[in-house]
Amino acid sequence: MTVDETALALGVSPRTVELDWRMARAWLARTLSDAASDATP
Amino acid sequence: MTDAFHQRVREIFAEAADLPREAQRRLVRERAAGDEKLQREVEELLAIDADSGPETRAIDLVGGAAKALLDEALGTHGNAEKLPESLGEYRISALLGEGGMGVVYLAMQDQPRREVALKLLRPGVHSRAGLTRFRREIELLGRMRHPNIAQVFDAGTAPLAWADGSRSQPLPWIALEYVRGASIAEFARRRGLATAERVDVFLKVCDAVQYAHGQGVIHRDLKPSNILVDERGEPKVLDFGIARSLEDAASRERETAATQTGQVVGTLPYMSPEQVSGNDVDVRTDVYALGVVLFELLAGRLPLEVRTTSVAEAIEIIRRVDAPSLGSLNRECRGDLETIVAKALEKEPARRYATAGALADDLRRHLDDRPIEARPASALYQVAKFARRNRALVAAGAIAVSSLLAATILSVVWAVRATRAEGDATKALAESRRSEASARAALERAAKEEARSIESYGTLRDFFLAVEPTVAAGKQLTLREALDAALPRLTQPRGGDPQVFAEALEVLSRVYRGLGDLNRSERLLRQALETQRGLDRANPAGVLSTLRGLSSVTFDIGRVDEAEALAREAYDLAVQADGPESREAAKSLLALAAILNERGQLKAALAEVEKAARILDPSGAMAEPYALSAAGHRALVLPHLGRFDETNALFERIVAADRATWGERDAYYYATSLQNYAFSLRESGRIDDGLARLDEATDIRESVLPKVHLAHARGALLRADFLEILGRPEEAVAACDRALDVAEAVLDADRPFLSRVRLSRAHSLASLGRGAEAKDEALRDLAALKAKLGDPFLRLPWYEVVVARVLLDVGDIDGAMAHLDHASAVLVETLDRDHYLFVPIALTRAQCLAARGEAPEAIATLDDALVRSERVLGAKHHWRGDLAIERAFLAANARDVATATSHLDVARAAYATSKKLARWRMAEIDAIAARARGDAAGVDRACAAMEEAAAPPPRVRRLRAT
Repeated sequence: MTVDETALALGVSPRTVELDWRMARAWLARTLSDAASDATP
Repeated sequence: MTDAFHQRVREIFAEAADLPREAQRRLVRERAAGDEKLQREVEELLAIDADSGPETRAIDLVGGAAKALLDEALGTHGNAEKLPESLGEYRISALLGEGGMGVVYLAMQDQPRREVALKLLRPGVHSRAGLTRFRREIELLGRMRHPNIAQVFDAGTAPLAWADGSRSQPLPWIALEYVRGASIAEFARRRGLATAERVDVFLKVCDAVQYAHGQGVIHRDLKPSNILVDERGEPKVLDFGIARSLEDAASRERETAATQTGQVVGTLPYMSPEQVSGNDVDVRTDVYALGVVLFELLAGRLPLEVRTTSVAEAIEIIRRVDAPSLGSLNRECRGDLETIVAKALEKEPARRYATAGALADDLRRHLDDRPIEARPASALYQVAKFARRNRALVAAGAIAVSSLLAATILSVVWAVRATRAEGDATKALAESRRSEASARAALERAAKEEARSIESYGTLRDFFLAVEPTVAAGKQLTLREALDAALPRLTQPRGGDPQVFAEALEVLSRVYRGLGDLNRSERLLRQALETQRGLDRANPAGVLSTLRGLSSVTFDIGRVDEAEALAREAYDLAVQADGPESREAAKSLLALAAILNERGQLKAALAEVEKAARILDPSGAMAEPYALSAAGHRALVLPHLGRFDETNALFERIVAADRATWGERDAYYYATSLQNYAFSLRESGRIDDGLARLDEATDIRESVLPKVHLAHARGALLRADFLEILGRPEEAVAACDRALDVAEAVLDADRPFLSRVRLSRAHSLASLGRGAEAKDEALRDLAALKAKLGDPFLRLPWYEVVVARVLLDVGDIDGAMAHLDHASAVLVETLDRDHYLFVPIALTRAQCLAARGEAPEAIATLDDALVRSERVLGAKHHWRGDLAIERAFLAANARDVATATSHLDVARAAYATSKKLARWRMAEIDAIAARARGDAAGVDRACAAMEEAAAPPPRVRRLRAT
């Protein structure tokens, strides 16, 4: 499913889908790297 | 963090995302307006977004893999930019629209001359079965004739043609009546229709939908843009693109990509809760969509504003948040209309109008000023229903969409966090008792937060169970990495409900066990147990299940004493809580029985199994998982007692029941039973049957488990022992090496399983005349097994034989005899003098005696064993062949042709049960016969044939010796 198709399916603009994805990805990346550094004492 | 905060972060992020660094900084500072927390959050996220580290790349990888899968399912869409010229008899004039399923063109037909909307299915969406269904559906849709439904004219499969002469592959197409008009919402707005007039137009839509339902067709994607109104004010419902017949829905066929994408590619604001959850849909799904359309028509806005939210939020909102009352947005609609719309928009399908017709009837009653059927929901019901909506957030199938995937991973990481808000809401409730309205608002908030925590847990569970190897078919590597990285955070104790936290830990532990990481699985269970024990009122069922899980993991790891203590603790606790006849007690007995079995206390183990089976499976029907487990444990013990016929019959039933109970999805359990069955068949001498079961089990295991998993090692060890029996010791050694490779990655070096593998390896090395390589280690491993498991342990007599054979191979006959003596003593003490393992003991003893030059004693031992073994193993067990060969060899040495011949006949009959078994052994029989006759040339020929068939060198050597 491309960004455009997602947008079409959700009835939002492709731009919104792309930005949402980028923010979710950034959030997730930070959480994962936090978690990884938690692991090393 | 509050929703409002998230929303602000999201807005500022979106605004700043594509600006240059400096401009970003300025804008964020400006927008945050002194809110430092907000500013920091956005800045951090933007920095990560700009500078992708390893995590970002890993996420893209996961997302990319999901996307690739979906693209594959959808097929690629070439030539989209250039308008095709024609398709069959249709001349294409314009592109009307494009969607996930395909593309729609405006086209002109010649005969009859008319404009049509030509809808093409995207290539790749259709399988052969899908096409058949497509044609069936079109036939069904073509039969629908209703003034308010856009007519389906024709359908087929044809290639698109371009002006430059290029053609696409043949694509399935549908020609639909082309409707010129505006969407119903647009129409009502432009004409400035009054409320009653809007309801009038809408009623015709209801009639059309009701008609279609009567024909067995659900629309599934009703929305204003699919309801066009022409100049005369006549609405037409169009686009049955994802509609499927009711019969299809009832038969739950979901295998085609078209259907799956259809579920994902609905139009979110109009999708019902059951639709976004991926549950079955029916006519009431269309009723819900009609409710949304009517709401929008009357209020001028969507009941739930989900266009600007993320997908995951939208799904949560659709499933949990009630629409505001229509009357609060449009005073004219207070009363009946408000009640009618609310009934159409009920979250529970059962509480909606049962049909579109019923909705229309109530609307007509309202227009006629008659009393309507719908009743406003009671306040009590409104509060109560929040508590019920706690099911999983996203249907597993939807995870394929990358943004949903991100949302899912996010909610995993957020897991139990949400419970914190619960306290606040309870307080708010207490403070606001005076006003019912605000109390309800507070309760709603509490219910929402509670639901979120349970749902997060549900999502966690779904997500992890999805990665669990029985489901994920070895594709979980990247997810595994993500999981590993997230684990420390997930296992941090937090403020929420410790019971939920403990359950989450247990699920995690199951996942890691499935992934083959036993140590991590154990650590997680220990944390779960600690958490549960810290509770004032621990839930005994939770503690019991954790204790049993812990017992089972420590057992797999090989710390058998601990495993036994844990199983006994679980049993005592279950007896205390529920009594000795309870199911919980019986489950603990099964855990205990497995351990007693491993310790070689077979009779005690069987007694426990039988006690448990009386409780868990009184009818013996194996109808549910624990009944099946009881049978499985019984079948685990029985073969070691030599009760082969009984065991094999039992396994036939277990394997069938496994297939019925676990099916394809949990094929791993079925594979485990098959493997246990293979062992039983092997011990009973049915070598080919056993190998067939082992092969099947291996195929399943390799397709559902990750590469490094203890189950593979168990399979390889079992195969090694088969190969040794087949007279292929070199391959057996290789199989043991494979087992060791895997097992050493999972287990600590001193674990009993590793000792068992190394002893099997030593056995095969001895068969190759290379016992010296393995002798010291074999002695150490046998001692280690006794120290860890007790003396005796399971199959101790067999391992004594193995060590004796290694010692015999290196010439330490006295040492070998001492081990055989211990083996015999254990058999007599703990089992029975005639237990079937006496056969390999007697065989090896005879070989030792012969090697010491005591041929008469060797012959006496073999003769006795030949008589007794027929009773215990039947005439055709391969071990009887081995005894007979040995006896014939001694007779041949003495040139006793008659005795040799009669024993060779016995051997021939025993080896004839399996072609694989016979390979070089028939040549060996010839060689012994020639040796008995003193026919040196015959011996040479037969020995050459043995070598040709890859017989182990020592077997050939002793025949050539004079």
